[in-house]
Amino acid sequence: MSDPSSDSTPRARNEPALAVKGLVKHFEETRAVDGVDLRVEPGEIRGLLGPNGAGKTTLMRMLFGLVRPDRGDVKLLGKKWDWASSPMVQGVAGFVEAPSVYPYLSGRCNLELLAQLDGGVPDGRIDEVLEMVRLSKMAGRKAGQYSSGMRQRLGLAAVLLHVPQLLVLDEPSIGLDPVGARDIRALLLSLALDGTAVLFSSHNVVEVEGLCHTVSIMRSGTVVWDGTLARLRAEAPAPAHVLWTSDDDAAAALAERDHAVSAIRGESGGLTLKAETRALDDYVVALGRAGIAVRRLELLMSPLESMFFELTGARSSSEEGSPEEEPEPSEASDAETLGASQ
Amino acid sequence: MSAAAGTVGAAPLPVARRGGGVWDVYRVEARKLSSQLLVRIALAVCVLGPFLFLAVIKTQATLPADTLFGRWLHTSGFALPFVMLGFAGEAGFFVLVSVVAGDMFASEDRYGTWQTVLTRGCRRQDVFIGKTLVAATYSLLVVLLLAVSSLVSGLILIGSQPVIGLAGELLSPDRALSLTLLSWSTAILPVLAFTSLGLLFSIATRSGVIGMLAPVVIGGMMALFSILGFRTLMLTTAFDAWHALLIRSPDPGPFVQGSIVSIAYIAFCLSLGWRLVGRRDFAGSVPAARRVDRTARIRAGVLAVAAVLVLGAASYRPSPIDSSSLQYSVTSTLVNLMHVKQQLVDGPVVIKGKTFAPGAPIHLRPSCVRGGQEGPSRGPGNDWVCTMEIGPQGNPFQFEIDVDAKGNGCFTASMDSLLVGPLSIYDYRGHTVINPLYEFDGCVDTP
Repeated sequence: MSDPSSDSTPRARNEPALAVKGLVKHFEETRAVDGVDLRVEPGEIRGLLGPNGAGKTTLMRMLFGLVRPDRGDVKLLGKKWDWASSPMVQGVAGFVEAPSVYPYLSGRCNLELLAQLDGGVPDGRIDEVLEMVRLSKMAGRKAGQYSSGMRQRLGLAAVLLHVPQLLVLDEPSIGLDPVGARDIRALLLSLALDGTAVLFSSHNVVEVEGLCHTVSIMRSGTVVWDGTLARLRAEAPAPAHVLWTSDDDAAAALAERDHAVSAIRGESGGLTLKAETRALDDYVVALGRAGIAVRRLELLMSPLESMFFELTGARSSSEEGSPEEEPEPSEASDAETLGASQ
Repeated sequence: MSAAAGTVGAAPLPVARRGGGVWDVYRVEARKLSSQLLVRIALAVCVLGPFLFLAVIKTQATLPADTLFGRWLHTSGFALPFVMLGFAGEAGFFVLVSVVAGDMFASEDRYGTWQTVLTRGCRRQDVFIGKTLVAATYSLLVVLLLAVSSLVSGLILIGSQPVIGLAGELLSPDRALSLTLLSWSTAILPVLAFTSLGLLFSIATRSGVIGMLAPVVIGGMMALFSILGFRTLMLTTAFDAWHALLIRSPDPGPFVQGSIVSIAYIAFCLSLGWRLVGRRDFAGSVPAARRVDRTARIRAGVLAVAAVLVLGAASYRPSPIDSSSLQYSVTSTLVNLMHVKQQLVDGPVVIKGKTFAPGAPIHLRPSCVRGGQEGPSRGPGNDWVCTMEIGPQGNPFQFEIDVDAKGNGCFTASMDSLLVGPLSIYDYRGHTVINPLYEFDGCVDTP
């Protein structure tokens, strides 16, 4: 990984890998990003959360110089980023939205061209990264024949052609199977251990919760919450669970007498409960004592998810009255929501 | 990717080595281009097109006589490069050049790869310059391949016989070769100007289809304007500059003017193109940014139409075709051709029964007017008639030549076979050759 003896890294210079101050971007009348401040330290993994249209992707595009900010400063690895004339700062890598490649070229050829745009890579490096993302056997195939997961892996391979000191990834695990998503998490953790700062956006609150040290939550172009995961957990409201019993009416009546538990009847049966863990334990024990059998108890919304919905104003599935449905972002809804809320 | 973390931790990764420049972008774009089927087909057309064209012509009795040098395709291998240059200047260059230039920037929009390219180690200006240079290289390659292929095809399939030039004189193989190369070199700057137009439309509209079609449509409109006499600032006029190198008094003026106009187009298109690329927000699926896209396309279209109209208005110039210029050029060309025919038959030339012996001076008194008019006439048209007189004023010997004068200053003159004999004649060796007086081409010259 990065050379620990080198004093050119932000960690050695005791500087943040990414420092964003007062970043503003409008598209015509649309306020996409509105005064965002953000810091990512070396070795830190920061999750960027927000509903569709919150401005996450536009913010990331500005970090790469794809979109010119109206106002604000960005420092990448300690260097002020000059959109007008500078190439991408050495050591910064990543991708925004799904990685795009040339479909008429093979995966290997795509990597060779991207390496060339960087001024080249050492011999054998392309084989290494192909192996790392498990694309060696498919490297000779045209990228147009790849599945979305394979294109995602190819994008990651392109990111890894050089040692990143700052990694900016937009939904890196989207399109990947569970094994691929797990590998990504392992990769990011490994890079962070070696000092790479990581900023990644995700719709998946559980993924962020399991990986990040810090979280920034965006809404309507602004950062509405920023801090460590531990602090977020401490400030988060009670988690939500879905409960199915042998007698939901009696269970609901029992919850009404217990002020520490809030229960809402679902349209398709079951109860949605909001309660602290200790209060929930007591409630379940009380159900048993009352002769009500617990048939199923599932975590509907973690504390972080609850906090996310509270901060962003997004509607959760439980608030829509159906404990069976889960929020599932899609590309199509992405574009629509961007238009509606930005 | 399960091994990723382990591999990352175990193996020393290369330290970030960012620093791609124009040359790196150039190599990348050249490699991308060489892998595209359409580009390969276009280059194959450049290489094989002239050969196949001449091979087909060789099997046929009729010749493309409506094109300069077309009537000499069976006679000299040097005619083909000039015929191909004429065809290419009329439409071929626009189409071949637009295939690459019109899609050079728009393809990144189509594949969504702008962000892939711009998040690597090169600057926007490097990408812009690299792509522009590759498009220019391809365009130069088109010119080179067409020129070499048509020259080689002509020499292989027909031979290196002398060819009759636009002033009616016989050009030796050496002179024909140098004029061929010189003529093709005059196409370089206007071809690069059309390349720049394609690049600009590719950038402004973000559509490969529009990028490819726009230069072709604009080229067609310019050709139309030229016919109507609006020639000075039209790029298509620059493609005719080689005509002036083959007339009796070679004139570099049209080449210089064409070059200045081409350079102005190149400078305008590239500076505007860079302005658009340099300031563009690559905002992906943000709807507001897409609305800007549509606005930009409409604006580009309106600007293009307005620009063509303004350029057209500023380009008007009276036609170089008038009684005086035609009289001078038709007469001098005819006299030269009479000398050529005398050499071919190794004897006198007979026109309407009058004999013109070799070595004897030929003094013709021309009078060119448009059909039905009296006195000096002007403008292109196929109704010109040139009357040639020889002998005493009171009782002259006369014959008439029908002249079809084009807007670009060139003409095709033809005489009745009863006056000058049939299309095919026998030379002094008994070989069948084309009668040079039956029909001949030329371009107006300044007396």
